[in-house]
Amino acid sequence: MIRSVERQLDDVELVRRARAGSLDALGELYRRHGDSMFDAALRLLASHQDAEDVLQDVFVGLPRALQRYEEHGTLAPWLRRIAVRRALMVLRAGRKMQPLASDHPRPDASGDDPTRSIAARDAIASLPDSLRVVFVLKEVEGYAHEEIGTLLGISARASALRLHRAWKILGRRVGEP
Amino acid sequence: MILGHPSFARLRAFALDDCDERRRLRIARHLGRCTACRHRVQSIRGIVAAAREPVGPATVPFDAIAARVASGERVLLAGGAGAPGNREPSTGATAGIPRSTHAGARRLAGVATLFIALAAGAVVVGVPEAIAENSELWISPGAPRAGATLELRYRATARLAGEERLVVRARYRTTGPAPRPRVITLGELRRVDDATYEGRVVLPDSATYAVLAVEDAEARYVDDHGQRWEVLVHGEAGRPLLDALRQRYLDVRMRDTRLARETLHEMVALHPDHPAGPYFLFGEESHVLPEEAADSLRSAFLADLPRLEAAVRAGSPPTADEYWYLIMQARALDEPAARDRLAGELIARFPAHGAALQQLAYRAAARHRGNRLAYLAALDSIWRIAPDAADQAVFDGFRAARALGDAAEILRWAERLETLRPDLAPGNGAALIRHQSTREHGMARLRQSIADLASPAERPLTLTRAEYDASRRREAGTYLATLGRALLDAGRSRAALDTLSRALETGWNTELFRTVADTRLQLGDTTGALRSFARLAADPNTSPAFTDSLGARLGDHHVTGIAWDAMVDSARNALRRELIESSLDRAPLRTELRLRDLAGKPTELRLGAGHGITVVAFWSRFCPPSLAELPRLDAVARRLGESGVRIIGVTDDADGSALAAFLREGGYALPTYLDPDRDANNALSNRTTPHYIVLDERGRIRFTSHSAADLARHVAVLGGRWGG
Repeated sequence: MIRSVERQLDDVELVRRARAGSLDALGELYRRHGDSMFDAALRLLASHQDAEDVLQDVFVGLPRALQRYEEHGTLAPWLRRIAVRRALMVLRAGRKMQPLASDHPRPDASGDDPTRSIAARDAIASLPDSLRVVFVLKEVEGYAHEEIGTLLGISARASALRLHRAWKILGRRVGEP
Repeated sequence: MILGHPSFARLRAFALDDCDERRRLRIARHLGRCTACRHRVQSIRGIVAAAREPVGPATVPFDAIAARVASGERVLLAGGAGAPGNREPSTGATAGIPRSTHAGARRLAGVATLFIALAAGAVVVGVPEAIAENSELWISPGAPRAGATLELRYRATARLAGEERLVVRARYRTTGPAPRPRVITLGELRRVDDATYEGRVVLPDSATYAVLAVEDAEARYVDDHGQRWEVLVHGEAGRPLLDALRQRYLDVRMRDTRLARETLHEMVALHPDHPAGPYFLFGEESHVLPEEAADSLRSAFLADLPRLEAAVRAGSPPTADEYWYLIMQARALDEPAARDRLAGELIARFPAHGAALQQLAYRAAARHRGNRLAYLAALDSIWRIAPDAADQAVFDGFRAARALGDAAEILRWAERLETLRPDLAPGNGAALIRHQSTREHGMARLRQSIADLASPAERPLTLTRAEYDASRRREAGTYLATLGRALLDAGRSRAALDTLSRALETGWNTELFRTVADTRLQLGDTTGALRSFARLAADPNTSPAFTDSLGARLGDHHVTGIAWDAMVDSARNALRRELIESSLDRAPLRTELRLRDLAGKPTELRLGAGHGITVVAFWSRFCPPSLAELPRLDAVARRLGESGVRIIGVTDDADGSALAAFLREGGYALPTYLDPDRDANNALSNRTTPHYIVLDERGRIRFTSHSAADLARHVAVLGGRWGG
């Protein structure tokens, strides 16, 4: 069968079933939202392996976590937020080695990425964790400095300073005068 | 005023649309003078764009996750930041802007003096200091004669403010029944201060009507103000020329029926003795009326026909143009006697005029009904009277030759048509390939048309260069697909597959995917067909029924569920990449939309973070393209709404109860609001209908489109639901 019955269900019904323990519903949620959550984790962690671990952990814990979810038509951003927080936990717990920029996987096919785009992504991936996290949370995930501060246990001002430092490094690394 | 260069933080805020309008304008003004800062802004945008690119699919198989869940493993997850449930983060873009700044801008707008543009000429009364949500173009004189120099003063939209120079383009029409409009660059506007620009331009002498637009030098952003910046050439008496009004009607009738009817009423009022106004007016009004009212209308226009005929004869001398409108009016009013009499006079007085040749072609069709050979011979004789003016005969001849199936005749009339109308070559090519005897000629025309698309051509007035390039690519894809099918029919399979592969490279096009998939299947290339079918299945507009039917079509060749899922996911990633690369990322000018519900009650809707994905659909029941789109828009909106997307329909209607009745009678459920003060239009810089604006969860504008079919894709890419 090419499609299962879960493909037909909307997110609200899938959440309900996943809460009740349905693995098929959980699998469909994974199919729909897994890539987006993986993106968020990978940008923060700059490590494919770590991001996959985060994704796995999130979905293993999701049936229980969904008990706290209130249906307001915003499941995708809620899931992404869960992945972000899990990735931050991994960072706080410390990692054995700094991932290399080459560990950052490229989108498949094309081969026509502009050089500057690759250089920019590499530069972001190779930022120190403390700076990259703030950069990704602010510029990609759209958090405000106050919220970043709450997530990371720092002040909003410290978040702004880290963002500024991240930009300075990125500017140098991509050849900005 | 910014001394020296803006700080990096301010340039970043500008680059990411993260600053208030006042600061934005000041920085924009600086960028107009400073190359280094412009490069820095570009670099910042490039870095963020790279950071936001999708990084590829997760490769964790769900089986591993399922096994862990089934084993009873527990993982405790944290929820929202410091709060339970699904509270959304506010975005930097809106959270960082103090509300007082926007309120301050509005207070300034309230006390500033206004520009007043008078109909007889533009007079500057005062200088507004307020940040402009609305752009405006003042054209002086307001009633120009043919070939007059026009003085232009432009208050720039925020998107163009800061440019050192801007370009003015025009779509103009010249005298004649229905000439094709041309688009030209008229000239430049130089900045005089902040967001004000001035310049002088001259329309071609032959132009009687023009629509103007302003854009930046690279045509990245076009301000066409809903195509409302018009120039109508006036005569000595200070009235718009009849032809100016006629060309205006021809220009607006497909996009604004209210304006079209207003124009016709003005034409009839100012030029009561010319039959053009009554002819068009009867056509416009009769088809929107119920039958009984249409009959009354017909009687009224019929009673007026003798007066018009007498007025035309009293003219010194009557023109072919006037005769043509009388004849067409008689035809529309179903008066064959008057029609035939007038046609006879036209043919006698103006034997080589296009209007007369058209009447001869109509007579030939009636006389030789059922005898195609005689009909074609008669059309050939008509063509020989005046080949440059025999449009009707040539169109009819091409159609008749194809019906006859005679290759030599088909080619002869195709060449005549292309001499008259070179723009019709691609259509001719598509027609010729349908006949085996003319297939090679058709393919040659298609190849030439594809090659011609690589050459510079007139960009439509309202399209940016990027939009135009995208439309040319889509056009090339259509021709390539047609050519590919023709090659297949000719038995040249390899060339067909190569051509179809080229067609696929031109962009996401579900019709093309279907054509290519069917063709590959026909050739036995099941793997290639599956890739195209996977793209079709990945498109959010494709119904589940289609995908389910693939199993039956593919028979023994269908792949396993997992492999198929992987193909569809890969196709989704391709679509996501393509759309993300072309997506916008800018803030609305305001996040509060002050609207009214259908009962007229004021309603404020907020954009911005915390509302999930939002679609704002601007449409109008007086706009024919909007009406054509409405059923699909309603269906798509229903589906998206069920998956949690917020849908806001906005119309220009002033009459909520009439609109409510219209929606009820059509069975439409689209949530719709009135925008009498154009508040929502201004907040989202909208000037046209139909127009759909898609905002992401951060409240940023990511996509705009004129087709409801795009909405499902845009929403899916932003994190909405995939699949039908």
